[in-house]
Amino acid sequence: MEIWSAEIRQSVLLTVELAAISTAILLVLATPLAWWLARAKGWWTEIIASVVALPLVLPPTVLGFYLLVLLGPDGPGGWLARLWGARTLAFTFEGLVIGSVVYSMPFVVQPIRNAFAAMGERPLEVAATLRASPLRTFWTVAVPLARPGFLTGAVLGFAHTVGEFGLVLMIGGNIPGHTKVLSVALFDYVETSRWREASMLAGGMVVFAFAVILTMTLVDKRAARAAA
Amino acid sequence: MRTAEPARINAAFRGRLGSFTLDAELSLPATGVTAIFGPSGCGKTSVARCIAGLQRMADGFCAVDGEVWQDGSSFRPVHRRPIGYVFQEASLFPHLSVQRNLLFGAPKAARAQITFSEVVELLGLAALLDRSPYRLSGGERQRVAIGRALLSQPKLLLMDEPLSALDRTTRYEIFPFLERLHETLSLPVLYISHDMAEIERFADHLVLMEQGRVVGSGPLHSLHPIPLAGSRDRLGDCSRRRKSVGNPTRMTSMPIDFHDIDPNRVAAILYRPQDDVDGLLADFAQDLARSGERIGGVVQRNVEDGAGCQIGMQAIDLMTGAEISICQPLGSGAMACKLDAAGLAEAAVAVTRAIAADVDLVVINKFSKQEAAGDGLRDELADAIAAGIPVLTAVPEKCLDAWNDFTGGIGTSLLCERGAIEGWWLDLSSRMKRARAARAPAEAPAALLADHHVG
Repeated sequence: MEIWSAEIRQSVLLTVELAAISTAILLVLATPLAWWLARAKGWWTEIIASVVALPLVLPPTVLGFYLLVLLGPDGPGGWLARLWGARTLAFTFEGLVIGSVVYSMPFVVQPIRNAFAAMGERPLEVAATLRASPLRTFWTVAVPLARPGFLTGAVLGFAHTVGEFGLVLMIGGNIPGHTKVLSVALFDYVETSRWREASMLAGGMVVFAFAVILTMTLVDKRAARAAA
Repeated sequence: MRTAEPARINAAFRGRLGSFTLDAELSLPATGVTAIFGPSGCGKTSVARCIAGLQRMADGFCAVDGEVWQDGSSFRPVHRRPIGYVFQEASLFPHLSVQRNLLFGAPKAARAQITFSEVVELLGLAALLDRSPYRLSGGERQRVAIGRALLSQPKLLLMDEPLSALDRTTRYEIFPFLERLHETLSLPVLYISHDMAEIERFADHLVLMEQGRVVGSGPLHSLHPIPLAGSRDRLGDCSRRRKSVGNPTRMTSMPIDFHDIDPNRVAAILYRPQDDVDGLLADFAQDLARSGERIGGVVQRNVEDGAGCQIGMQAIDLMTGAEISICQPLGSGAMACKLDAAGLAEAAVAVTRAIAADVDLVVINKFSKQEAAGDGLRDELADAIAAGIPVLTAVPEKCLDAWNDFTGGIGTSLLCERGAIEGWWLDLSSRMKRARAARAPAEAPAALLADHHVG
């Protein structure tokens, strides 16, 4: 099919790859952070929580600007990139992953934190009285009980990475095969008046978004039924 | 008490928990069942949590069977303490089946004091193993929780009001399992409760707590005097006891000691007419009802004119406080001294209402002469007993035969202290009043216990 061109295929694959890698990293980083936020009691907890939540409120371009400075040749990103001989992390796939992780963090942390908080102290106390070490309690009690939170967090993180535009444009640019993800490609098609491709991409995104929301609702319902 | 002794549990915890101050020292035998008894909020749960290590008191000491779990410099974390803990709510892991819940804390190594099949057998869990905790009743969940704690091979089992979240019927369903536990296992148990009836069933040793302090500790029957009452067939005992009328050590320490009452019969205090236990019972029941105790039934008392001459009777529904209009005038200002048919019907309704509200006790009095018209009420009393609600009344000696005829198939469990009863009620109600003046109503029983035997 002519419309499923190599160009579109490339940006779809790139987008999925970016979203998958970002979601994996997000889960690894967000889990301990959410655990700590759900259980720490100090005044600084909410300060950290607010910092994590900043991307919810900040315009993506603001976030993109700071990330560009940080990832660029003169920032810590550039210093890091020189470790493997590159000049900068800006306008690279790796930079895009870092940006996506920062940007989507609140969407992953919040549901996991809520799930950890909702289970309360009791299951953890019970596990401790049954001789389970804190680590074993975490893996065999806390994580399974917070499963709906993890699911919601992962879906939201994935979907948000797929949908992000402003930030990607600021720190990723528009390099086919490296940083030209779906949303940027769509913008590109519109700019060059290629309406067929644009409407195809936009329609595909609508279907994707609908599928995500429907899946999450169904999963939620199933979890609620299992708990009844 | 801050020394570790073999075969004993030594503990001392001091400090603030929110607005509450805990200052408790304990030295208990590490054998049998030790009950920690006290009103809600007296700190008994905090003591159990401190012993388990779930709560950490900076100023604390805890040693079990010579092993120090906590002192000024060390604190062994919960998961390194060989305890089993049964919480008020079963708190099963919802994501695991019954079997996997049971095995969660079971050590991998085979050196088990109690095996999986023993626990399943002891607590009757065989049919539940593959079920999800969601598919269990409250009583079944608590049995699984007890089994789970036992399978972690504890050296000390802590049970924090394991029955108080259950309804009365379920509690009765669990009792036999707990009793078997006590008979079968040599495991030391700390049993937290505010229910003396539970404690009397299982405990060997009793600790009394009040307002964050231990106010008494000793073998159960040194703190709790001999049972007040016997069932009907212990009537012979009663006649011998008559000689020690008024001996204060014979008094039971609870306002009404359910344990001593045969739960399958109407409990009746037998008394001589001049003692007027009927009137005392009415006063006492009304006091309890007014102070918010869950008590129902009907009490009657004589109505006297200004000159102290009886002119009739009054009947009161304990739950509503309303007067039952039973007293038809007999002319010349006097009223009947007996319920008429309508009055009996109203009394029966009052008892039914009490059963429906699942009260803790039904009290009736002055029904011993109602044999002719009392069939309806008798059925209500039988219903109360069938629902597991104890029924208490007072019967004058001379009316015993009439009363026995009245109760018929239900039967009577006699409380035969006779003369001593009067002192018991009087003393008790004045103590109750004093305790209530000082504290919230729910805390009164412990205050009684404490002041009675320890203070």
